[in-house]
Amino acid sequence: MLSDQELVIQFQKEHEKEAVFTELLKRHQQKVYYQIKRMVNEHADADDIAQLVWLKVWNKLEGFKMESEFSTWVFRIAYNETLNFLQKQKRDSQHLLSSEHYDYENANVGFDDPKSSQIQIALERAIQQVPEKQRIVFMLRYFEELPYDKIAAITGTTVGGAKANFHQALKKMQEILKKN
Amino acid sequence: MHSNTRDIELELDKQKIEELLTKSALSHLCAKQEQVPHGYFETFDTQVLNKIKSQKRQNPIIRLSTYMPYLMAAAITILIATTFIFIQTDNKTNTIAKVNMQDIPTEEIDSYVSENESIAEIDWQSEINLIGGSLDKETGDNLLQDTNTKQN
Repeated sequence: MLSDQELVIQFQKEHEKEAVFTELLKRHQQKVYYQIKRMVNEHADADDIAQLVWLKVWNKLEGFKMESEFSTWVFRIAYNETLNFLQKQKRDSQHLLSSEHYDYENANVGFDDPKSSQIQIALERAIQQVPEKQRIVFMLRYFEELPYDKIAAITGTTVGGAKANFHQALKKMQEILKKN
Repeated sequence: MHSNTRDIELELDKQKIEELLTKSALSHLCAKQEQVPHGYFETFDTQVLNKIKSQKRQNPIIRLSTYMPYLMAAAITILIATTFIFIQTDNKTNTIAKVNMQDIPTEEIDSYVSENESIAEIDWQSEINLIGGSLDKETGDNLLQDTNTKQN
């Protein structure tokens, strides 16, 4: 099986571009989608952003210099597009903030114990209240289990910056949960 | 070794989170976030490729970087060819002109000059008539007289 880098080289040499692109997309589509969905919550929004991300990948892959791994590069595009979406959503006065917009009523689905569902709601509220950049670092660290250097490359910060964001996110969630 | 340190660091971070947020709530959240409509990932590539195709139809991208070397080569060739053709044509015209002048007999040139001399004088007379309005009568008469004397 060809590596991502070899596929990128094939794409840049115009060898069966569509087939090569499809292979790269199939390898990474789930992780890209989940990274977006964890931030925007709604499937329709995540789908729109994911399509935009892959469209950008198609348009820019020719000029990709392979200074980082292909997956890091795609995650970085997804990160930027997600932040753009969230900022646009915030600016739109008619749109509810994501914390209010989130469907907490259905958050307890799958929990028979009411105490568990309360914990679940509290957790989701706490996560939603963490600033976007800290929240995304938290998500990438916990759910994607990414190392700090990769998180730093995706979010365009230093390893120290990524670590600080992660600990700030934890601290913020702790404060929110204590209040509740 | 480096990878081991990373793994330990990750485990410690996860532990901290799970102490704070409980593992079951986090795994439930994870499962919820990863819910997608049935068959979504199977058709996602087709959706993206369709978007790419419609984008291509709307704005056909002309990649200058690909064609630039060929365009430059064509432009240089055309420039050289045009310059060469221009120089060649110019040389030919001069040669033809030189040959023709040498081939014409002197008598023909003389008769051409004398024929055209009278035409030139007629033109000269009409020019005087034209500017006559701005000359006084005496100067005009003198000029006409001079011309007639020369013609006779």
